Amino acid sequence: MTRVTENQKPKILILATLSGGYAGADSVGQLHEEYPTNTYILPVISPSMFPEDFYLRSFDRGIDAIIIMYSGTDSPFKGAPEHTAQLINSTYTKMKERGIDTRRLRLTAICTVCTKPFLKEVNQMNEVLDEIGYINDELAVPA
Amino acid sequence: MEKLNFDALVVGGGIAGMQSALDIADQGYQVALVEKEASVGGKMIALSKVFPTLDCASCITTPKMSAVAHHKNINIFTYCEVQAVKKSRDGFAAEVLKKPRYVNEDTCTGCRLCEYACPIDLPSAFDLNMGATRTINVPFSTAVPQIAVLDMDNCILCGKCEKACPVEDCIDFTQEPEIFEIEAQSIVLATGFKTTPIDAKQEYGAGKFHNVIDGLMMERLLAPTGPYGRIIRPGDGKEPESIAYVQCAGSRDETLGVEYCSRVCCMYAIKQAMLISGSLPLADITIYYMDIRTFGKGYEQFYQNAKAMGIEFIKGKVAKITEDEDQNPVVRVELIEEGSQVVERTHDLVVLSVGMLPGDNSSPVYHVPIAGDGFVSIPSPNSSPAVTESHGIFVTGTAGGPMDIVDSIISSGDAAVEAAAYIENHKNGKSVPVPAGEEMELVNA
Repeated sequence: MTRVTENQKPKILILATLSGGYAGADSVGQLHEEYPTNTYILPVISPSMFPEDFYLRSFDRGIDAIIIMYSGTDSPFKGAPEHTAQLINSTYTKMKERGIDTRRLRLTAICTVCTKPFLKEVNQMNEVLDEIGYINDELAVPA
Repeated sequence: MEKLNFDALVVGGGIAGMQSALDIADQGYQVALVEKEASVGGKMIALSKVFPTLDCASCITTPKMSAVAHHKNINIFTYCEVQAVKKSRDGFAAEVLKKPRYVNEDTCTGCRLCEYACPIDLPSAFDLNMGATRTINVPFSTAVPQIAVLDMDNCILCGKCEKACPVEDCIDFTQEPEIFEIEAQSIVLATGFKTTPIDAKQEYGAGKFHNVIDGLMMERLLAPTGPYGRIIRPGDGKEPESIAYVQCAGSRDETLGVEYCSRVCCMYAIKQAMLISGSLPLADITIYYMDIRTFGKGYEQFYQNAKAMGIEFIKGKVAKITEDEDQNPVVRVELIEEGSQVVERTHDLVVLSVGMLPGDNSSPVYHVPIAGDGFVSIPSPNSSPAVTESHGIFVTGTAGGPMDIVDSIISSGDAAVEAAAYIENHKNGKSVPVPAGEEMELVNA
């Protein structure tokens, strides 16, 4: 397994809902809190619009981990959180089939003021990546 | 005119209205929730934290907002106002004005691309004019529904929002106001409150001093989603080292016609002082008060904790606020417990603990009598605190008088039970007959 180095940190994609996680990420910035630079935050209306294949293709393209920061029960869109949970559940099955560690994909509820949970999620994912390494190494091993 | 039929009509989408709607809907009744703003949430969604637990206000409000939007028995009508109500033996028929958003509610996804494309910056109403927003915007990040609204008065019709919008014909500059009718067997008034205007008192600068703000403005400064992300003076951006609260700056004041105590100002001032001391540990915080009224569960301990934290409480009514050459507010006050000497003290920022006024004098629309203080009259406040003088119309929250969030939520349950009982009796033909004088058609005053 290739060791995770400072120069080439694994990439974490964060799907953050406009009404929750993205505003939470904004709050973290406003508080001048620091979080690792290997995070790529993508504002989304609702992750329920992203099919399972999106996550698998992201892993194929070298994204080492994905955190979905959705609004949970606070979602302004009816049925969206339940649908997102179902999608992630079925994505886990497909990840297992392909031999991808399911810890690389995490669904978490982050609200507009959840600055500490936001930092905790990012730091925890980095700790996981320190342990399991890069996605490309994992995909190189036949399932 | 389109007619919609419900069991109950709840007017006002603040915490009291939302809770009432949920409590009625959970009993199986169909509820229409009408809110005049573009999002439900009311005043509470703009607050930082709640007393005395210091829980995050939006963490309590946002789930309620989503719950009313997702509830199968609740239909929310935002950006709508009840204009007239007809009452008959069959119930109520409310004429509702749907204000134009200039955005198609059915197709807007809340993506905000229109907002990002808009070239016009305006003071943000949600941040009480301290931050900025665009002419077309989703009111705030957790707004329910997530639908943009265009401020046509400030729009220059450049069309950039229309080009940025990914949905065809979603932005519609030709939208017109619409009128529709809601028929319901019962009405719950949750029209809330407004605060005493900051310019109400000449003695306190009449709103002319940049560094004299009110309690709701300080809430936005303290909120994590606030305009600046930290506490600074709106006047010049300086981090304040000395902050003073002036209590009863809009209550218990005959000169303003507000003779009553607003019940929440002492507690919100103490709460804010505690939050400020957490954000600005070196700042001196002073609260000038007439009496500290900490009546609720855990409130007195909250006050004692604030004193133990080093927040200075000075008994005395502030007579006047002026401003020095550096825009620092100067407070003239009699120190009652220090030999009644009159002193002038300079602070960096002064917060006026403004009081509560009736939010929307809906009496002419609903034909509900109002009390002398301007709030909805409640003939039996001890035995039936949600029952108004008009059959089938109930009141909850601060529409009936000043109260805090805890009491508003409690009163919402009360109003919901009263409304449900009335609806059930009405359905079973047991309702109290409408007195001859009350069968009428009412129009907006």
